[in-house]
Amino acid sequence: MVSGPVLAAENLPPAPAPCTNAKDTAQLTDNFVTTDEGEAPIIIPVEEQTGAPGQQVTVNVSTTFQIDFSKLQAIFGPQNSDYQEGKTQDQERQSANLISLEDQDLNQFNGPIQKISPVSLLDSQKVKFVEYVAGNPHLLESDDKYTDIEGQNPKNIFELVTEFGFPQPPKAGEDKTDWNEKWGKYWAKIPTAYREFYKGYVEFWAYGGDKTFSQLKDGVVGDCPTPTVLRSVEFVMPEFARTVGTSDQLNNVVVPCAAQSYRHGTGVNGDECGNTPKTAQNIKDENGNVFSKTLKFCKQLVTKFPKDVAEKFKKTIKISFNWLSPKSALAAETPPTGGPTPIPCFKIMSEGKEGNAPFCAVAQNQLIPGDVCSNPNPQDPNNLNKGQNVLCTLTVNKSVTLNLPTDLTAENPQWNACHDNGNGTIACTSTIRVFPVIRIPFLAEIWNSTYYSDDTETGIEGSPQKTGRPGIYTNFMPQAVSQVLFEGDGLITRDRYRELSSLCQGGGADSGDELVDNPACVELAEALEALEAAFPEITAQQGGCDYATPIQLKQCFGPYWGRITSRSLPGQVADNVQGAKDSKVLGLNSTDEKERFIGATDCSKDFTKDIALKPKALQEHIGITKQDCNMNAASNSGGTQPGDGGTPPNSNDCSGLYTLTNPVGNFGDPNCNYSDNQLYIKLQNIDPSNADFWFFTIAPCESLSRNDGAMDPNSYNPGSTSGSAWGLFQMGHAAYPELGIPEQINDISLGTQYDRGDVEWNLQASNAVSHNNNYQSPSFEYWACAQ
Amino acid sequence: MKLSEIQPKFKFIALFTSIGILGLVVILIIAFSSFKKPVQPQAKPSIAPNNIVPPTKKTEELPKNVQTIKQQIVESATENKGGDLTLQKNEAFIIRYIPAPNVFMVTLLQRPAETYKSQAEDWFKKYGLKQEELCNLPVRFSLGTNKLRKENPNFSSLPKDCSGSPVLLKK
Repeated sequence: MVSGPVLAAENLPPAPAPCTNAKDTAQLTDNFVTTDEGEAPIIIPVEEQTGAPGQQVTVNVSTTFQIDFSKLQAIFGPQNSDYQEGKTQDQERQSANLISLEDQDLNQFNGPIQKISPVSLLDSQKVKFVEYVAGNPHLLESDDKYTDIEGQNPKNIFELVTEFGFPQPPKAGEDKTDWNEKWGKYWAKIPTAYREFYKGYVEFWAYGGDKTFSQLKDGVVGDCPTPTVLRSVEFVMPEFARTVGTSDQLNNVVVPCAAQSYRHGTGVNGDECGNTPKTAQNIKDENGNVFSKTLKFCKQLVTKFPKDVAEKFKKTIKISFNWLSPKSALAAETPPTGGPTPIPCFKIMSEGKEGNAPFCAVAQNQLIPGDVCSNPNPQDPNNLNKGQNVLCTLTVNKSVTLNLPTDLTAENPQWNACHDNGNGTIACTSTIRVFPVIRIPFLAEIWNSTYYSDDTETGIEGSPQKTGRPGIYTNFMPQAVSQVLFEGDGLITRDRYRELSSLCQGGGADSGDELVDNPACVELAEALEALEAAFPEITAQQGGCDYATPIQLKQCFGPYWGRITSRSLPGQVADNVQGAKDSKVLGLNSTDEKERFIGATDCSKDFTKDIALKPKALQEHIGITKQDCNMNAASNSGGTQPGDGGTPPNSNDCSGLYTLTNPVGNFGDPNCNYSDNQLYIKLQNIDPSNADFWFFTIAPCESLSRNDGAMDPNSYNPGSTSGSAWGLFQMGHAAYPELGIPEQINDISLGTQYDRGDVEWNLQASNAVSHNNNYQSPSFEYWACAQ
Repeated sequence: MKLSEIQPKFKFIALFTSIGILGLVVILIIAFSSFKKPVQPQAKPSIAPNNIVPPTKKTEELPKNVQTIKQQIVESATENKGGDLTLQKNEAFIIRYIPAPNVFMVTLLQRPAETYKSQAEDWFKKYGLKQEELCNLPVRFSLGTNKLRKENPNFSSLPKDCSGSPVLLKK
């Protein structure tokens, strides 16, 4: 047996309290919340201020803002780490009987870390995990019970170490008898990364002057302008460390140093590898903790900060400010009181299901007089510390101090304009901009470790991304697969389509102009030809598409829309991801989206892992037969959902269950949870007396079958007598302006929209029942299959 | 102006007027026929309605041995998709058990439908069921493609030698 770990470690009984033992780090990524145009949400004009050169002028900012801390922390869920090392933190995995697991379950038991990392490195990580957890009883993992491989004798780390000592895994060729009797029985269950909680901050930063704003926006040589911090509230981010840790492990293990992005190198800028062929692991060992390296970020305004991230923050934070006024320091007044006035651009969007990730309620010591907090959901199991400060209205009431310039000929970025009054005084105007700033630990590192690195696409100057260098998931991706997934394989992408679509306007037969006169239209037409050639099965089904006008040309893209690649940036939700435009992005059923949100990686994580690592026969056996994935071919309805708002369409073909040839993609089963069984249950619930009629007579007659024999909620008939017919019950549809498709809803004039089949399957059922109950006399007249 | 000079003009005027009136009539007829096109009752394409005869007996009403075999068949499922249990899948047909409505659904995918329907029945009979026991097991068939539906407009969802009718609309 080899020698044990170098570090002597303590073994302390578990006392989990992660929320109160969160760690601080300087490695924060500052995420400015801006308007869509990149402006400050709060802009305070400072009218002409007169005084002596150098005199102080203060501007009082009095505002309130509401934060739902449960939602704030749920923006970044734990799914990436769960993917990377398997759900090692789940009780189900910890207590699993590995002996009885089927092959497929066993395959899912471990993530890429366990599958592709050499055993020696894995062992090293696990030893460190045990040592760290044993010595840090405040961690959640300290009281996790791991059973042996037969699902018996559950023990926590403290008990394991007490009984067996610290683990010393044997190397190859060494006697394993003792090991197999002790730690060996539990070793497969031991995680490689712990959940150390880290502190994040919500702050309000104020800047004076338009020039300062330009410096922030455009960058500046040297130090960035320093903000006036109006308020800082500390909160705890539960899952960041593990996510970073696991992705970092993978990078360390599988990506040569020179191929990695920022952070693993030893050069001056931290981005260069040494001359000697060191691996990242070598460098990491030399430099100690992977979190200890400095990120050289200029704290700049991120005007290109991924819009969807900003939207999530906006949904989490509601701001109002009740009074503001520039004041001379010599004539400061007490701000008047009054009710807060909401700022429209920061209103909270419709109620969603965000907030299903573990979170810590904000600590009492973060509150000041005037703050009001409540706990709307006292039973929320995700509230790790069971605190009451979850939904908080926090106050900001602080002055921003500006100094009138002493030299009008010098640059005074804090002031917009100044002039000399000639009497020893000067007069200046300015603008105060206030940004909510979410300071998140390690966010940039997560971006850095996700799907790909591309320094032109992060939107952050000074980004650690390096074009051409892989994130963890690309290290084994064949180039051909990458091209298919992210470069459209030579075909038009959605981004390009949108660009061309906006340029290909007017003209055409209607105006007497020729489409060929418009280069954008010509390119679109060529792209259409390429699509027709690339997807002959769709072309054969749809027949040729004739067009004479730009609108007709764009309509021709409809059948192919689901196959057009959409590329999402690191940290950004593709706009075609289900729920990206509504409040369900982080919904209970949208695990997929949360993973993508972290780094736009989800679609191809499993896909590329399967393609690259599994034998061809196994791929075929488990149904991986196409080079396709969720993100590759998404659809964006552009339409609205009725009633309770079903999940918008996406491109997920649910592992090949659907052949999506309709214009909008997977509208009927975007969550891949349709089954005939569930449909029958739904019908029994909403229309029990007619459930059999719906299920046995209407639906199988109106709809098609999907590839597993079940009825197809994505059934689509473009040649219906009334236009086109959608879904299990072949009903109408919303408008899709982007595709040039007008609405076809026959009850819309009556104030309802039950005549819609272009929605999720359960809504299809309820729409059909509602439409029948409300507008059909005699019953079922709408459906030819009922006659 | 002399009459002899006028007459030819009248002839031309009369000729053009006649042509004009005739043209107007033709245009009106065309327009009328396009706007008032009589609706011709189109013959419905002959296609199998694909409706399913629902089960009439509960499992507990089946003979004990059939209940046992049924359980055995259900337990042979190779896949569970949201409750739909896949029992057999090949290029010609897919056999599933749908628990909530309690029906074994066979979706036929290839022609000739009747041949593969018979093969699917044989699959059940290999478990020891008799042909007539398929009726109440219950086994039901549907056609999985429009092509098959068009080719088999009189297709029955029932196994051979079974009787029953689709769900009737409650008026």
